[in-house]
Amino acid sequence: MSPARKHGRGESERSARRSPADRGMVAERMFASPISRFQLAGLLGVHIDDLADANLARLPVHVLIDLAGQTDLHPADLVPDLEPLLALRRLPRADAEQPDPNTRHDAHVILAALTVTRGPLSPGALAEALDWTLERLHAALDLIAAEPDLPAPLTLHRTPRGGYFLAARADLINQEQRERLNTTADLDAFDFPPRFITLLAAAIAHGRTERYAAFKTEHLLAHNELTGLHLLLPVPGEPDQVDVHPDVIYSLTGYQTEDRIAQPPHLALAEHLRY
Amino acid sequence: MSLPIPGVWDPDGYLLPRRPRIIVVLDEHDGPHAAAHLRRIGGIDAGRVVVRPTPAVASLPAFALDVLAALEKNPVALQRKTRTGWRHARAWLAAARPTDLVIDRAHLLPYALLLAAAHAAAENDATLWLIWAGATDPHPAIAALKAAGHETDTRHISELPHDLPAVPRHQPRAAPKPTAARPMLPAADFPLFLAHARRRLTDDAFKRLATRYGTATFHTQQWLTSTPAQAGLVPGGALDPVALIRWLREQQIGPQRSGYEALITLRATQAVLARVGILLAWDRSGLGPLPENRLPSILTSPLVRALGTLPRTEDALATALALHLEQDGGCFVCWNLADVETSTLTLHPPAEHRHVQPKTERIATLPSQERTDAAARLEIPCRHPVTLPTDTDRILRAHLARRRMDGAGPGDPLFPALGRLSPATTVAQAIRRGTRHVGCDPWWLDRERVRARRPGPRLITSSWMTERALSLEPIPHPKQAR
Repeated sequence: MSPARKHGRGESERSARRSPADRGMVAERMFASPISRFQLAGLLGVHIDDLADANLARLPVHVLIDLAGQTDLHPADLVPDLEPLLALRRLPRADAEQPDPNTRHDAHVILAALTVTRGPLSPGALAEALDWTLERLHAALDLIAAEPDLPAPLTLHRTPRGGYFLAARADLINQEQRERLNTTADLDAFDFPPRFITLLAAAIAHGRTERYAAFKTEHLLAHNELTGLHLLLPVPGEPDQVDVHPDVIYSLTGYQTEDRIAQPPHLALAEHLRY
Repeated sequence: MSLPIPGVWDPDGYLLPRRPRIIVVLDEHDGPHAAAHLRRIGGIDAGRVVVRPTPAVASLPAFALDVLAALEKNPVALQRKTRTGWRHARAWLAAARPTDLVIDRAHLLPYALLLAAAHAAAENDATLWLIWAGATDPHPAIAALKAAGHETDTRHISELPHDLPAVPRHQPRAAPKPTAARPMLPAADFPLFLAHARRRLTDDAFKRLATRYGTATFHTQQWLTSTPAQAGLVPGGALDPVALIRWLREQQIGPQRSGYEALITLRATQAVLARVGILLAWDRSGLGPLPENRLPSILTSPLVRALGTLPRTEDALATALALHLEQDGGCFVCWNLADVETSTLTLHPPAEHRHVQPKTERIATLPSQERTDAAARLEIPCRHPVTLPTDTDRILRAHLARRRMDGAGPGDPLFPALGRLSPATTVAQAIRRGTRHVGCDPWWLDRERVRARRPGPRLITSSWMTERALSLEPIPHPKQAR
């Protein structure tokens, strides 16, 4: 009888035999992972106080995969019942392909890029900074996830006083990419609250008129935040006027413009502001 | 055993007397050709139900299980014979609307069960075919049917292919061409989504996205112009948020087949609604690594088919409603049979309500939580029309037929109480059975998990909008915004 068939529902023998020390080590690794305890609790569907006692064997498979990936734990450490099953030989895969060599190079570029950024970057911001398509970026990210032992593109440097440090290889990222990695606003996780939409609408309709000064005064914080995100662009010589980033105009209205806005879009977004 | 004169329900709910057409097909050699032909005449979708009675079946509850199996009900769920099994079988038969009810090896059935089959055929205005195999004399059975008022015709098995022709076999579908892998979509919010897609996707991928985006934009604009009052377009007009939620759930976002399609549709919808002063906000932070996969309805077509294998009609319908609305069934007790419009699969608000008002306690929360709480309070399902997906029509018809067979009238509840249980508890148990049957385990069904997920004073009810972290609020006029 295969190991899988020995066990019925509920906690199995193997999981029940796991010692408190084992459970403690797993819990310790979970807590040492980059995600917060609140995120862990959300992932496992338990109260934060019950994290250490969570019954991992009852988790849906996709949650288990996510948990193993986030904590760098072997799945059998999370659910001991998996151990004999993971030793089973896989079926030959008809569509198994070797990764594209270019994808492998892209993976190294991403690893190098992430060593020079000031903090975590979303895929969208990475794609913007590297000027890649999302498909290309995600193919490389998938390869990195599939090969955790992928060699990191770092070189060992020595300081004049004899100390050592690691730095990304200089040949993988050009100067333009390096600047964008440090300056690109990471907008992927940014959700636009209502006051931002209000001000964007005002800017689209009246950004190049004297009326915008009143909007700016009324919503100075929103104006500053949008300016910081480079979605409102200052007009040279006109401190109380703004241009709206073409991306916003295009996304909200389908109206395309390459340079300055010739005329406001003929849509209700502007009319909504009439008073 | 005598049965009342069978009848057929007309659309107004009156029972019309019918006599079924009964054909006894004689197969004296009991060869394999009859069984082979019956396998070729199609199934429920072709309007034909072929019942293969269990050998030595003698009781109506056991025969009911055979009929339910012929109607594609899960055999595991049929192991418990119940007194109400025959009513369930008749209800599902009514929902299937067969033109032909075939009883294979009918010579094995006692006369009482033949009469029951005749009754069931009459109810559905179907022809009853009794395949009479072997050397058993059919005349006593024919006489028993005649004594009950049924006339029969007799045919030879060789005539069966002509009288009950085989259904043309569908050509197997060609294996689908491998489609291009779905591109990753930008994670940007709607004010930047389309621009990021244009810049960060390949040309082909963006063309596909733009087509879908344009379709969603068109549908949103069409819906806005079709509603009586539109915010921002009619001075002083106020959009009905519940109507908007209903449209999002039942037409715009819910029916999308994948997270990819749903996300594009959502972004297009958000952009159009923003243009008329409505912010449809989506707080994806708590939805996991692929938040767009949470957008489409969880009541998918495969899930509806799985629910259709439940023998109890109340389990199937209550579960379908709960999964469609993503709420427990606390409010389902309000609906009566008269509130159901079968032609559009719509449940209309009843004149009086019987549900217990859900508790909503407020604490100081993040603005996004306040918004989702407000959306949830809008979605009390019995207060507004609810339209089920089209592939649930058989489930709805089966339950309505079952209620009528119970003697329920238009003013009686859609989900009655069972025994000593309250109606709400009866519905809750039906939903538990249904969700367990289809392998669904929504957190909002279990009160203890509700408390664990949201400790402290909290909104107890869930809703379609809150499960997707969607919320609606007006975009303030610049003079009012702070």
